[in-house]
Amino acid sequence: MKHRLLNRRQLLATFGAAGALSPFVPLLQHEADAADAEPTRRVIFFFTPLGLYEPKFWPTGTETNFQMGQILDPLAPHQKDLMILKGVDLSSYFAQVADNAKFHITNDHPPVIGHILTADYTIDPKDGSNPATSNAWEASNVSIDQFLGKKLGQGTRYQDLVLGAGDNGFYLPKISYTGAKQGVKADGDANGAFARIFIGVQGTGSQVDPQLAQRLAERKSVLDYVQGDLNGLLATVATEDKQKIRDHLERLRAMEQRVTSAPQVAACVVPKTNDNPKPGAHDPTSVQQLISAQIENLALSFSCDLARVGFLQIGHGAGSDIAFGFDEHDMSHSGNPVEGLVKIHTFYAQQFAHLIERLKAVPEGPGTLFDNTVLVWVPEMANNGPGRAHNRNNVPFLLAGSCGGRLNTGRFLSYDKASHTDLYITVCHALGLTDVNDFGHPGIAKGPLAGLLT
Amino acid sequence: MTRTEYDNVVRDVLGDDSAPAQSFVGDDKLGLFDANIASSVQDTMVSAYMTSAEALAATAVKARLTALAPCQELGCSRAVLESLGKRLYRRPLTDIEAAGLSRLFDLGSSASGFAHGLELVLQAMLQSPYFLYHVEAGTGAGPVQQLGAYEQAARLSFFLWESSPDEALLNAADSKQLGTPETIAAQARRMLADPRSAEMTRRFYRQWLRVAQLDHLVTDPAMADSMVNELDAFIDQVTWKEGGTLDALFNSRSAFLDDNARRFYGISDPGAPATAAQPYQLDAAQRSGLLTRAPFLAANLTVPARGKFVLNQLLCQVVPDPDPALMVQALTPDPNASERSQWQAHEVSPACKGCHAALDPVGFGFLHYDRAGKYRSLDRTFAIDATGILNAGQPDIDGAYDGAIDLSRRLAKSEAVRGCMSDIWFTVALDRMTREQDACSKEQIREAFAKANGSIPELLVAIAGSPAFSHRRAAP
Repeated sequence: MKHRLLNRRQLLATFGAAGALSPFVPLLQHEADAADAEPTRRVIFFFTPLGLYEPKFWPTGTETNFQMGQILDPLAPHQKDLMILKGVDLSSYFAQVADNAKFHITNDHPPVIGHILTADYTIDPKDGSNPATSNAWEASNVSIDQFLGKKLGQGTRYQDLVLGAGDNGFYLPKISYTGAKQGVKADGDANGAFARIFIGVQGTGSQVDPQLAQRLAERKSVLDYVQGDLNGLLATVATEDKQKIRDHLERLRAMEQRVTSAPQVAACVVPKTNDNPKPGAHDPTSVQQLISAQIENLALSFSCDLARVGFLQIGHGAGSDIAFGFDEHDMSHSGNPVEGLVKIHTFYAQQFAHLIERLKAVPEGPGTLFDNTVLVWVPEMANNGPGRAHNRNNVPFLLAGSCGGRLNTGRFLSYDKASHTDLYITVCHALGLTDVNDFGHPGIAKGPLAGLLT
Repeated sequence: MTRTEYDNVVRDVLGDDSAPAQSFVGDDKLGLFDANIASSVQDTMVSAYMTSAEALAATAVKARLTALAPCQELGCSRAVLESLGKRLYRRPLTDIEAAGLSRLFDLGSSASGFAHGLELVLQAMLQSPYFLYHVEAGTGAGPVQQLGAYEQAARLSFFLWESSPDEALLNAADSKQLGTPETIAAQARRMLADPRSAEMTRRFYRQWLRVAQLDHLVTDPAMADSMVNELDAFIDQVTWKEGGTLDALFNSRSAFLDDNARRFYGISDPGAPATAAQPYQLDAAQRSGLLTRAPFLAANLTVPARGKFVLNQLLCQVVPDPDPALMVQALTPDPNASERSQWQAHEVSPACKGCHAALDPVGFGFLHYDRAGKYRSLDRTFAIDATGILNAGQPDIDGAYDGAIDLSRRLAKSEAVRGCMSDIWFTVALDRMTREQDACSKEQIREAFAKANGSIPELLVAIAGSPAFSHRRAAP
């Protein structure tokens, strides 16, 4: 027996309906592999809207000896874990602008939001809707979180947990994409997400409900019946609807694998519930509670190895409901009032700090879960230049965590027109996917950013 | 189904008013309105459907078994599941479905009795695509197909109630009494008398005016709630009690106001209860219908935003997009100039005039209302000039106007507004944008709407009776 990790999360028993133990067998394999050599590496993307107010954000000083801007005050205790990147552009956006004759795009929220995680062109719906407000623009490719989820999450219960808070619904809700036009809306219901992630998971020493086997077998029969309906419908439905039914079938089958077994995982803390009150609009306190609950969901699912990739989406394209009495979008253009911008952006930094602290609280091997994770703060855009237009150059990206010693932390790095494509490729390499040398729109990638990888 | 439709169906069929779908991920939008039209299905949704189905089924057999299954002998199970299936799927079950569901019933009942058998059946039905989606096959061959009777009934009920058909509507479908525009119109009139239509109408206006934004724009959440309640009560009044016409919608001075709203309108009524809204007639010099009320004004803060709503949503005009090369900047308030003169500067600036020259002349009518929507007789120290020019391409209403009350009066009798409103309602009724081939239906609906003096309920009846509403296109 290998000890380092098995002590932490030894699989005691796998139990369930006939033939339903499959999802947790690969987990055992990962455990054994991990104990042999490399730690399990993980990644979380953290989205906030409307950029970060640059005069109060950018550090001053040198690469290794720098003073961070006021907005990053909450991250001061973690400065040695951070990598702050200056000079990274959304290059795929500029490429699409240059291609404008063929691939129309305007500098509005809906046409550009799809670039942020996919590093690829967005698709003009050509339906006459106004690009300044239309919800109909779509991304044309898979986003980096979903891409990594597919690569890293093969043996885990979830490939990618897309969780949200601070209003993910009203406008421009989709940022994560499983493929062209296949947007994933963030799950803003922390209680529901908790239930979905942990359904059936038994913590250490918990008493197994004697009726559980019957319940799981019945659930399987019900889900099989529903699959029969979907298959029947697939045969009769019009061509344009087939994709939706096929998609539904695929998700249902994947879910059936998860929900018809009851794995028992040692040292995996499974609380009864992750209770949080419904957030009220304009109430940063309750939004903060919701964000905490979602961070808890991420930390718990990582510590039980139910997922290795997460996406935490605060707000949506062009705003959130964490207003503190200010109009977030107007402020991001006008730069007025500065105290409003600083307040909201400091709030975001606090949440990012909280995420770091929560992961640091989970022991793993000789250190903590944070040591083997990289966090990528993805602000929607830049907040610079005359008039504070929503520029897409010099977007303030920030990373945290060495990802198992693969990243040079405690850095303030400056680049000259680097691409966020290459930033994502760097993240892939840190996660061990060193064969990933292209991502998103072809012809942009140049390889990992200098100075980040150890 | 949208989340609202899901909640309404389980309320109407299972008697469960817990509104479980409100925690599902958000609906897609068609224009400003909820509509689930996207092609992707996410894990969050499939998981939520299961969790919700299990919870609803457990509650149903625990709390309402007798209502759902008056006979609980094993021999009655097939009749029970057929009756529930018909309401949930909006059509009779096929024999194959009934047999499959019976097997699930047997699995559950043999282990733990009748109630448990029914529980499994409900779990399956509530996750079936025939419950979750609007499935339409049409009848006959060819690109344009007449809807089947049950499909027709479902369209009607999801349009007018955002819920599944009731027994009366299903009975009409059983006996093939939904085949003509007259029989459909008769059903529509019956259904409009039901409170579910009033709720649907309220939701239409809430989405159209984007009152969800009030949560972001109004700092006091209690005030935002008061505004939504005020809108609901106003819509009830003008749609169902004051003739339902556009004239009432845009010109009625009726208002139902709680304490917050009274303060907003400057009405003093010391004896009135704080939270229960009371009826008032607003000051004719300051307020008229929908466009001069708090919910609209507070959700559309500025002159161009208010002008834009009138152009986009009442006249269905496409306002030109800003030049992407331009920086869009917020107006920096100038203490030495009136708000109007500051906006007017935008009409000269080459960078701004593209949009502002179209938006502002319509928005100036609203200058008597500040950003929050409160009436003001002075803009700080400046006199207010709320004159503007309407240019809707209609000689009878176009030209100079003075203030939002005059503007509302013109819009209420405008043929262009009637046409725009009927197109918007058409899109909501059919869950799709209008197409070239809808020209005849649209013309027929507009004529009926005009003939009924711009009555919204009659507009809904006309849409339900139109050919587009009873047909589907196999390949759009």
